[in-house]
Amino acid sequence: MATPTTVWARHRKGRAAVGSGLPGWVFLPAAVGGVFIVLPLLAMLARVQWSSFLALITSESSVAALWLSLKTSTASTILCVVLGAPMALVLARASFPGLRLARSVVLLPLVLPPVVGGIALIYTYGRQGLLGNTLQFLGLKIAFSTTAVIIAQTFVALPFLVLSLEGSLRTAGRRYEAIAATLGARPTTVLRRVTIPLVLPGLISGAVLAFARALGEFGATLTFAGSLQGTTRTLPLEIYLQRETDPDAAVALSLVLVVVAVLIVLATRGQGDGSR
Amino acid sequence: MTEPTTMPVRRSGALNMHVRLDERGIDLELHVHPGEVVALLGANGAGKTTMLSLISGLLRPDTGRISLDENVLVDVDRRVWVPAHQRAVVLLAQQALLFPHLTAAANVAFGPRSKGVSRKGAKAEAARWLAAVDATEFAERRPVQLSGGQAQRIAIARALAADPALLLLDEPMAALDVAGAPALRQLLRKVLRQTGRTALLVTHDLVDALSLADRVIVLDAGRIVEDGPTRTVLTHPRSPFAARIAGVNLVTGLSDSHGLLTSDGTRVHGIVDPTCLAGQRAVAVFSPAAVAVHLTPPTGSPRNQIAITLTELEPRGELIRIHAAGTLGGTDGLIADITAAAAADLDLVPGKPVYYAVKATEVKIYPSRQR
Repeated sequence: MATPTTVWARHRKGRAAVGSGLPGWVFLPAAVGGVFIVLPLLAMLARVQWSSFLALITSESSVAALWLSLKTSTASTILCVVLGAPMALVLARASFPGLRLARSVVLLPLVLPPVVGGIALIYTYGRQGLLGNTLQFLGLKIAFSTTAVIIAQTFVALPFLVLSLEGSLRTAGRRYEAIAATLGARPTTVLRRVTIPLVLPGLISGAVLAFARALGEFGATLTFAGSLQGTTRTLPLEIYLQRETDPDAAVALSLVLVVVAVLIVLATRGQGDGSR
Repeated sequence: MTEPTTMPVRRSGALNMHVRLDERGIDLELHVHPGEVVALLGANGAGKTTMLSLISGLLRPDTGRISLDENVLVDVDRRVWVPAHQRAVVLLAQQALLFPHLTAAANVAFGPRSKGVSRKGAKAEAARWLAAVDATEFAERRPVQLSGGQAQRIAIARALAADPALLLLDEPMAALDVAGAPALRQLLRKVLRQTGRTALLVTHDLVDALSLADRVIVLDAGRIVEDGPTRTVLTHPRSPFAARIAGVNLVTGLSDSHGLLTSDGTRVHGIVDPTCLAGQRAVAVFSPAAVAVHLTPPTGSPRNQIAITLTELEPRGELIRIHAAGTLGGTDGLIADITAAAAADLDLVPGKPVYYAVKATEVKIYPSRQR
């Protein structure tokens, strides 16, 4: 005979299953998908040579690559915010002919193969490129420099920030802004004191996404900036190079990138929950 | 209670508007005196919120002009357009819409800060208005920590702290529960009376119109169909909507010497107002309490009889309100109030065919607004 407690427990369990409202079989492919993501990471983790791990990631070339990656990714994230936030505002709030076309164009780097992006950048900022003469006249040489790395990273990361922030702006709606305006706030004041604070979580998660994308950038960087140690050889490029000669070093550096990625994900989760 | 002196009196806010917005079928002409509180009534989609958006600067009219005191806010012909933040017109909506990232006090200080008042001055201003709405204790709370009624009180303080020449209230009580609405209504009454603020109040509630407004306007399909002192509009409604709000039956038609002739040829007998000329558009109005309900066609002194079908019985205190299908001169939805005992005796159930009888002496016939 079932005691009241077990009946209650069973009842509660049943209710939880009903509450999710999902057919049971959905959990199977969902679990397979989860394994699909986690398994390769575990496989890599299993290959890490822990005895030489510290030496591998503190070698001169590794430190240079890691340092360059962090520097350039930070710079391109700042550029993404400076350029992307106004773009998101215009896309979400303004209305002019061609707005839908503009939105599609902004998304282009997202769907473009990074190598193609790199080639496009060469023909824009390179010596033979569209702006080449102007830049040369100004005494700026961009191709195959750290600046080129930042440009390549910004190019591929910008849509992430714009998309994320535009979504937040649409969710936040215009009602608070309308109220602020009737209270006598100028458009700049509304932007500073109402709009930006309201979408701050979206702006932060967009910036983090952009940073992560910049950190992992490979194709456009290699094509447009090359692979010069300390100047343009970022961590992903270093990992690819090491894979040929020293697989253990490649695995160790990959783990470093995984750790950085996990930290980023955790940081944004915390941010998003805290500000809501 | 707070001293009246804490609320600065503002003697201005004369609104004059005549605008059209063709896409929404809006054509409105309205003049409001300084200090007047005007209730805007009308069915959903009649254009009430659109009207507020036009005045507050959130919508542009196709043609026309709006002025507030000596300031022209919009003049389409002369290409004048004052943006919302320079209009001194503050909107208070159904939801309080307090800025979620600011404390209650910072919300109230928002208006003064936006006008360039110093941080310290704005803080003092906020404290004063929070006291005026009896919300000092909530000053440091965030909007998520406030109930709907508390948030709406803060929103009123925030609106008044911006020192508007005109206050637009868009159903400010609609989202509150039964307990919260009367308290807020009383507060609004206090601040509107004491500050002499001009206000437009959109509402669905007769009580709001009665307790807050000097004047009532009824909107229908983007036009003003009724405009007059609250009492007159509610005791002598001239539009079906005002009649419904006032809870009386209203039949439209043309007046003749004996009563009212409806568009389908039915004659409604009643007492014709002396101002009513024969052949003029008029309305016949009678209270639901004046309606007797019979199971067979009644005989006797000259009466108005209507064959109808019961659709709904609605208990209202000691009375039963009867809603019916079947028309009198094109007007349907006629209502009658009878006692519960009478309803039981007649064995009334929805779907039953019955007769409404109304004594001619209970029917008032007077001119309707010419359109």
